[in-house]
Amino acid sequence: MSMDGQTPETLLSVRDLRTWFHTFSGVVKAVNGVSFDLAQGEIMGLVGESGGGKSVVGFSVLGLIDPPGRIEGGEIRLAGEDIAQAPEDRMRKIRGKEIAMIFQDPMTSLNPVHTIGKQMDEMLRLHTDLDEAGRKTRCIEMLESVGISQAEDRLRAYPHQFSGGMRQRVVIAIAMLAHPKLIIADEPTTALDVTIQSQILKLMKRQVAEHGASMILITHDLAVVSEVVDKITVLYCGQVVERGDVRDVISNPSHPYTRGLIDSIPNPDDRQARLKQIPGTVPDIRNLPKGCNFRDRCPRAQARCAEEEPKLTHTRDSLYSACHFPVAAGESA
Amino acid sequence: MMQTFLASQFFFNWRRNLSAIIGSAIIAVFIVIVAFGPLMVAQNPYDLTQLNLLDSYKPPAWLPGGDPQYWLGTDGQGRDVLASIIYGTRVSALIGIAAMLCSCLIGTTLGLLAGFYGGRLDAVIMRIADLQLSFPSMLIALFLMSAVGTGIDKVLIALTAVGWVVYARTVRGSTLGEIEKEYVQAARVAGLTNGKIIRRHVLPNVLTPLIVIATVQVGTFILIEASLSFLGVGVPITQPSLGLLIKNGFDVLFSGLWWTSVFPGLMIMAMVFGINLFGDFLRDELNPRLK
Amino acid sequence: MSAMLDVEGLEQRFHLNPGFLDRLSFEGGRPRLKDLVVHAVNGVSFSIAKGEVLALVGESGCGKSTVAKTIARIYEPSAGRIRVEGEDISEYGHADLLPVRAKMQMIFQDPFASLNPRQKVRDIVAEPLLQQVGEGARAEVADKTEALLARVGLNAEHAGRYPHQFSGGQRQRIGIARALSVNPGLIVADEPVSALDVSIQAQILNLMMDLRDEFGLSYLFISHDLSVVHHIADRIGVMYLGFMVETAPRDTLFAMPRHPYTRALLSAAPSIQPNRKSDEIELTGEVPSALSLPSGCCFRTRCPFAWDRCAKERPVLQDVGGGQSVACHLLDEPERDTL
Repeated sequence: MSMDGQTPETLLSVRDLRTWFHTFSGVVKAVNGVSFDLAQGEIMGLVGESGGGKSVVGFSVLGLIDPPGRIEGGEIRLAGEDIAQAPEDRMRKIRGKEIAMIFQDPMTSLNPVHTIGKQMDEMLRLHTDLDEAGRKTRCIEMLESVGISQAEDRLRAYPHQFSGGMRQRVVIAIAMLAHPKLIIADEPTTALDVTIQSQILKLMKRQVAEHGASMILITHDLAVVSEVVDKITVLYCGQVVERGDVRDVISNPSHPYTRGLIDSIPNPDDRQARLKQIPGTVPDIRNLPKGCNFRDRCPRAQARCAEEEPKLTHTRDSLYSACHFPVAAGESA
Repeated sequence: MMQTFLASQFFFNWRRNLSAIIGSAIIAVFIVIVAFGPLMVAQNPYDLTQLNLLDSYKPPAWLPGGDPQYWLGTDGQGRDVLASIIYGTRVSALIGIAAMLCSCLIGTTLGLLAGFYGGRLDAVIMRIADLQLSFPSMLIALFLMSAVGTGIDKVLIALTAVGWVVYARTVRGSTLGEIEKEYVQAARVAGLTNGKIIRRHVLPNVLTPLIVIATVQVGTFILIEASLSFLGVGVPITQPSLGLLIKNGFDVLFSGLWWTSVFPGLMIMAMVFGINLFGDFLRDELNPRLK
Repeated sequence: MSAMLDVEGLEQRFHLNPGFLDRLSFEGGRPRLKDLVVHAVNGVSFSIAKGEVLALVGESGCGKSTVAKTIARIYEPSAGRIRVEGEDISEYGHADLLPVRAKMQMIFQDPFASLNPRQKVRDIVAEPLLQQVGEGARAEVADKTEALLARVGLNAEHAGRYPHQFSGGQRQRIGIARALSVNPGLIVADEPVSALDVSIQAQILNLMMDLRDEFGLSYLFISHDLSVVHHIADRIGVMYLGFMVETAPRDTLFAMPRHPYTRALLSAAPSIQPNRKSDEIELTGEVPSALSLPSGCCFRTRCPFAWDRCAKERPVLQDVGGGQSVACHLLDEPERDTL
């Protein structure tokens, strides 16, 4: 997926990641065998519903899993180095400098008692060798590039003096300050209004392209994803059920869950009396059914689905899906 | 019900927490004393006919001069120290619990009203609370006692007057939070009266933090009551009280007759310590955990 | 035949009570105490016929939720008239409102905060009905409660459980069952699916549509999600900073939006459809505070077309035909519409 025909380098390679939470009421296998690759300059959407494990994937890559959670197994290779079980001081050097994270709620991801300037400066002091003047220049440049006018004055402002959209811009600016190679954005626009959302998404895409970085955009909103990303990975109950290029996944998915999700979205151009819905509810992740996790809600499920867990295999075009009876092109679920 | 409790996370955490177990054990001992105290000792130290003046100031049984009949020794009037402690503990514990219940009732009611209705009612209640908090509780209790006289019921009044504030403030804060929630709005849309909304919807949802407050407050009240009695303005001399015992022994403390003061003191300490240990455990357990 | 709901000139102002020192200011050399007022709803009018679904859309702070809650009389209106089936309830006290509660119920946005965590599901669902018929009728009401739970897709065994044992979608179903318990004609739905996952949204929307057909319900449907609104609404009202800026039947609004804010909203909404209108109006700037509304048109600070008339004169809703009304000065000077 690059301009000059060469395959770009793989920045992040995740293999069979398993992050489990050992709670009082049982083991929650939040991430249970997730694998994907992310090339340099690529934007990947990690999609799934609440409890699907997508945020946990993000936190696992950053090494932010606290007990009772633990990365049980699997590899997370960042530019070749496996950081899945890396010690905390190695992770601290990586966070901010190589990998940055943007969280959902801009109100809580900024420290309310420090000025914006101080928080940005702190980030630069940790990860660069710039002197004070150099840091200030970089901060002002960054604020301007995310669309905050009168940047030098705004450095002295506190988070509560900004609106939600502006705060998220500041968060993005802080994330980009140390020129990270990878940005993990966890539902960055869910808390924002639609008109602000569209501005922020465009901004993020532009920043990523300008810095040659890669991004994992974690969201449950398929519409948001389809506007910004290059490829999509769909999670259900902690496992990858489908992945592929964005247009293939959105217009012609091969996994019945993805198909069901797409069909659930009201389509203004093709108004139906009733929305197609996925029946039932997500199973209790402590007590997953044998075989395919989706079988109780799947309209195509057959005997084999209750016995054998499907593996991720190539179905068509760029799509890989974990299903014994994938949906053919043009077919409805 | 018992099975659900034994399988619960609360019980699981309790089993693994040594200080919680110790605290609960101490509280259990005191509950037994409160319930069965008089049956546990031979002498009723407040029944003058049972006293023998010749047995006065006997040291504890394991020291020279001690008498196995009086395990912890006797005081100046031949009262068995152990028996006195048991009778005194009953009174202290009962006063502490009764005062806690009164404070809780009054404080919770005022807090609910202040939080729910706001406005002037809220302002008045909270200003009285603020005023009361600016004085040390002992001072308020002393002032009240000198105004209304001594006696167990007066002690209860003084403790309640001091203790209601913490409930009122906590409940008011929780109430302010709960009434903004949609289930309260749904109750309005259903047409419920304010009284019903407060009783059925707000009250059950503000009680949780009170459990810890109430538990710890029993310990605080025991201490205040003991101090008041020590100063002579609490429980009258004819009634048992740990504070009075300490006071009586205080006069002879420096002549080497330590057991009449020290043992009641240790008893108070043990009670409050046990309550605080268990209270700490409860506080951690009841804290809403963020996933 | 009177409309199910008729709202005229609805206004809602909230008086904030910050500390004394925050309100103190000096103007013209003399100290003055400002009274801070949030102008949440500023003269909104609309009506809903029986069996009709009217959606109110807008972004956060536009006042649509406040409109919903004022109509449901959770708040008292600062001004304006609310008529339910012709009856003016704007100034009713608690006792007069009680029979009206049997005609109008509400569904809330947050499935986690809209149910009392200490109440069993059967008590939650039965509460509005018991309030109408008296607490003593518990036994008779029990059958109805079970039937309602079944109708919304839950079973009888769920009745004895507590809300925390259910998922978000199931809790919304419980809320719907509660609203239906009194057989209302109008349900005010405040963002009922916004907090739900996409696949659950579809289930709940389908349920609401089925119930509408079965019981002839009217909905006042509040939402910020245009694709949801497109699916369920018959007519749509667009709000901004407490003002109604445009109303139209659904297809008309999506095909021919007239107000610049509506156009911006429609073009900003992310969509999975690859071939959307490229009529992109990108808004700049921030939404003004509801504490001090801009003079004239409230949208002028972000409108790409604003000119001096917009600062001086507040536009009113004008009927442009086909059931569509727009509040914008561009109607008088269409040549200024350069996009």
